[in-house]
Amino acid sequence: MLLKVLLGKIKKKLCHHGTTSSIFSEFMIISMTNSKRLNLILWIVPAACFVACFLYSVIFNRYLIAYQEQLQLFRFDWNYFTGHLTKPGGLAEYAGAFLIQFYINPVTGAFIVTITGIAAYALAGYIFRKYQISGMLWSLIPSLLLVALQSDYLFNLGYILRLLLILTFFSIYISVRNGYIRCAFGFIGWTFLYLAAGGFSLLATLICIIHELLFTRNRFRLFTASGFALIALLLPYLACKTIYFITIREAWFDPSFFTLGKITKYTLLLFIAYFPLLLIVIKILPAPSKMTWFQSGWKLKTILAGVIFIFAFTGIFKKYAYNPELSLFFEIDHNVQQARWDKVPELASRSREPNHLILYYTNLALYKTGHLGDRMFYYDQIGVPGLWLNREGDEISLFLGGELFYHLGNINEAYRWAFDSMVTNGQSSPRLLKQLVLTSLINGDLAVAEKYLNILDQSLFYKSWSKHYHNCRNNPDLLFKDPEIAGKRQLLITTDFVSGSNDSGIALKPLLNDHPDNRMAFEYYMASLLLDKNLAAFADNIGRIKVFGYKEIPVHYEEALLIYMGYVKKNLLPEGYGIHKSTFQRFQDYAKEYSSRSGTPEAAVNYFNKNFGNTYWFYFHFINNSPSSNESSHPFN
Amino acid sequence: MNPAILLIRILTLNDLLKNSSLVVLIWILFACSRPGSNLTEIKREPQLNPDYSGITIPTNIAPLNFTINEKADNYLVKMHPAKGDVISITSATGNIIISSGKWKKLLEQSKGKELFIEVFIKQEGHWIKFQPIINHVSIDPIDSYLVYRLFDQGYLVWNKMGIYQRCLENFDESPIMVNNMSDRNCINCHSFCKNFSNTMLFHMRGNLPGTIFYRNGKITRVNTKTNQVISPCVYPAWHPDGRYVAFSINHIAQAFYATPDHRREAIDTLSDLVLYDTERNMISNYAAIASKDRFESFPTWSPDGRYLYYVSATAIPPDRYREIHYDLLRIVFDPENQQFGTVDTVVSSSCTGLSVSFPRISPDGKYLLFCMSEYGNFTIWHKDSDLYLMNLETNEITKPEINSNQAESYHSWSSTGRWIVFSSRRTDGFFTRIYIAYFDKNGKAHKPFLLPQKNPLFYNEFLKTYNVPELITSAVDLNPRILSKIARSIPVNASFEINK
Repeated sequence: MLLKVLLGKIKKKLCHHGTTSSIFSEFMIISMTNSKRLNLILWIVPAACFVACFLYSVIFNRYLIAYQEQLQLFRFDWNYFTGHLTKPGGLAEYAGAFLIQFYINPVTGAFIVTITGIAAYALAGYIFRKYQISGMLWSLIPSLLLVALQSDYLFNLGYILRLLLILTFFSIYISVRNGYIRCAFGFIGWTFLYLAAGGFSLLATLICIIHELLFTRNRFRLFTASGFALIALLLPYLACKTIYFITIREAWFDPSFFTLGKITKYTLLLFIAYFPLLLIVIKILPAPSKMTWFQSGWKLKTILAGVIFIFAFTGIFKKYAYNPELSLFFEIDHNVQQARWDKVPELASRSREPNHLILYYTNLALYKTGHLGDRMFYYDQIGVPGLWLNREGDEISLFLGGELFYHLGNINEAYRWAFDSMVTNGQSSPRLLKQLVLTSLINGDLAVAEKYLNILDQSLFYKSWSKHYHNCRNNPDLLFKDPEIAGKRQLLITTDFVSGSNDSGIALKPLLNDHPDNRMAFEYYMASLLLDKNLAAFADNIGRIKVFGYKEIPVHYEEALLIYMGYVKKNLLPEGYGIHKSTFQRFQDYAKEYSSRSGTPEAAVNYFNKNFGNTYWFYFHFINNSPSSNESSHPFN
Repeated sequence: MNPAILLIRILTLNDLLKNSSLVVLIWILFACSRPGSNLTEIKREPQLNPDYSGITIPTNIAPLNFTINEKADNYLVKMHPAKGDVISITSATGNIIISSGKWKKLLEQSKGKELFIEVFIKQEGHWIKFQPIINHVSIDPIDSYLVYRLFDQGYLVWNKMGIYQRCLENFDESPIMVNNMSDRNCINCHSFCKNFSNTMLFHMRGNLPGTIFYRNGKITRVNTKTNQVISPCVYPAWHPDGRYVAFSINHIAQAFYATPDHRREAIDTLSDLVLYDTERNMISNYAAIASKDRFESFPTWSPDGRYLYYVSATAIPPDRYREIHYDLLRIVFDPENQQFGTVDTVVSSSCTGLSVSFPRISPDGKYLLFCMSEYGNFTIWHKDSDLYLMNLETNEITKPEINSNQAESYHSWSSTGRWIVFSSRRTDGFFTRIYIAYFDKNGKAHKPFLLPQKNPLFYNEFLKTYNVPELITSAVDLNPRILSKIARSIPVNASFEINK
């Protein structure tokens, strides 16, 4: 801009003196044109970055965005709003929750994420211009850090809004020229900032102090800086002593900060440290360096630096912030929620490392697509626990684990998991609420179902779902005709059994005993016996395939039977069923190889994995597993 | 004529005309929104939510806001005593919010008399009047405060919870202790001595374990777990003298059912009673109330402190939990010598066929209120659990008409013995709510009513559960800031002695 004005003035002077040089004019015209091009580049480059961010979010993070939406339910309700006022930073959290509800459409979610990046860029740019830091990259860095932060599904949009609030506050603060007014604004504004943004406001304190001490010349700058420090110390303390029922630690630091992953925590700290450090650096560094680094024009050096930085950032981001396994998991989860079961095994095969959550969903999808008995050993099984999730494990397991019980028809257990997950999360979630509604309706607890439906009524995007089930709740005919409800009601447990608080199994046998027609319970039970290598029990139950109308014995069942029949030297095939020739042939090949390497079969594991890794035989001989946890001991023991 | 004066007159006339038009318009509208003489009368009461019909209410209760569960375009409610002022409330939604000031005045006028609630609804331009609801306003006030625990009713987990006090004369609720100020531990089993707020205790479990005692203006954190007892102290009962506390000590196991009718069970695997002396900081074990082959639990004292009532069952292996039936026993106690004496059976489970839990005696010592259910003592999860009343003078047991087909469980008496509060799951079978019932001098419990809330639709979406309702005569002068300091203080270890 300065260059343009300068060139303009020079041109004017030269023209005024009547000195015209066609070459110089041409130079001026080129310069002016270059200046226009420069402006264009200054718009295009960041725009390209943000388009890239948007595309990254919509392509690589779309399922993470969809998952985040599932973790909380924004309610248009006064109590929901006032509930956020019980701690500092609640307003930002409320605003974040409001925006997150739009993540129901991942494209909208990606747009929101990008907008936050643009806002950070604009605010950082405004702030840095006040300090004559004009390089585009300096303003881009905070945006890129925000994008990295939002790759962690636990990093709530509410945090982002707090950070933006702080930057907004500081932008306004440094715009006020009059020292007295600025001081007054700072002290009063910080109070409101603290209420809205919570402990993150300490960042605002720090940069305001730096600004006053290093960049202003008014006589009371010491007073202002001290005032800020005092307010930052006192106000949270007073707030927790008078307004909020929170601990002193929570008064300064949001408790969820301490639950963030290491990378996210460091990235957040980097964002927080970025502004104060940059301000200090530009003050300390001697003037020529300032000109070189902080008022850089478009030179090869700076362009190269920028490109290297972008590449380096992308590399670091890819290595540390973006988790492809987690992204894959979220994609699988999304397909499970949409009941696109056929996609799940295909996605699961892309997983590069053992993942219990993916395996859990894979087994479920294999059952749903009718392939549990044929293809479960195409995936790396980890024994019986691979069939379900351990509720003591982590919050994700509790959030997802109830799904299995729902499909199995153990409705009380599905309800228990969903409710406990909601309690652990500390807030309602649309997925959990829907689960609670359905399980309550199935169980005939209509009044309880109505309570959860009333909550969903207060949301923007779940009203129509809620309305449908309100109608079902009020009309028994509709209720029993609803396919979701009707199907599960047919499997309602009639013979009571008890599971203990330490029970890690899923009580498949009692489930099957109560409902011998429960096909899923049967297949899961058989799967558990195979995984537990309990072939005697497996063989005892093989006759049930006739009851379920299997046309043929599933491949893995054949494989297991071949082992067991060879051991007991008996034909245990159900009447009317046989072993496929291909299975038998393959078994012979396997047996031959196994015998030939009988001395050291473990040493040949790679060979067997490569050639027979998708068979039960490989699992039986080479995959160790702990004793079964399916048949749980009495709950009170 | 002076133009100014003319102008003023014109303007005044204009104003008058305008105002008149306005008045007429208002009158027309008002007339149209009020029932005239041409209305239909229905011979039934309207459906209200909560059900505040046919109840007896104290003079100092907060407004009983409610919703009219009848489809209509417009609603009108008139409340009045037989002779006195009328409160009129109109609503387009059916939500009836009563002004506190008017309500207070209404109750004053209705003290000892009947209170009428007339409900009108407008459907398709036509007004319908229901049969008036008749409530009774007792001359007996209720204790001003109600203390309860609010928590998410998780099965194996908890998150936010707190002990709160609610002023029953308005809607103010304030926390006594919230667990986000004590490392998210479990806080439970609050208990008061004779409804006094200045003598209380509650437990903390998980992080910062211990029992907080508030007595004689002092707050202390006590570790009641010693090597000689099976657990820290659990269910409390203050002796009327405010010095002793009878506690149960329990090992509790949980299990979860699969059929829709049942959800959860908790049973004692070990259970005894002990006596804690607050002055000596001493836990005393007595063989009479801590036998190895029995489960003793749920202590409560007679108002004169001469008897300790408790439930007792033969110790049975956990897998036979349905066979566990608690009797109600009492044992003589000599507070001067801190000695227990002979044991009597008050209610025998073999006679009733049911299992007893939660015995509580009225302040005048005449009545004993308790729960009975098919088995066990974790009654809030037993749908069949009901409240029973025993006349301690005649030993007659009756079942008051305050029960429902869902679980009724924990209960307590007001300081005068005229009011009972109790936990019930009658609203939906899952979330526990607090009900208040009048108990008259003749020993009759009147129809209970739900703890009122400012928003009549409050309970439609409220997902927390109320637990251990206790009436107290004045506010507890503690708050989480004070108590969190104590919670983090070094606990005093209780001593232990064996008394034969």
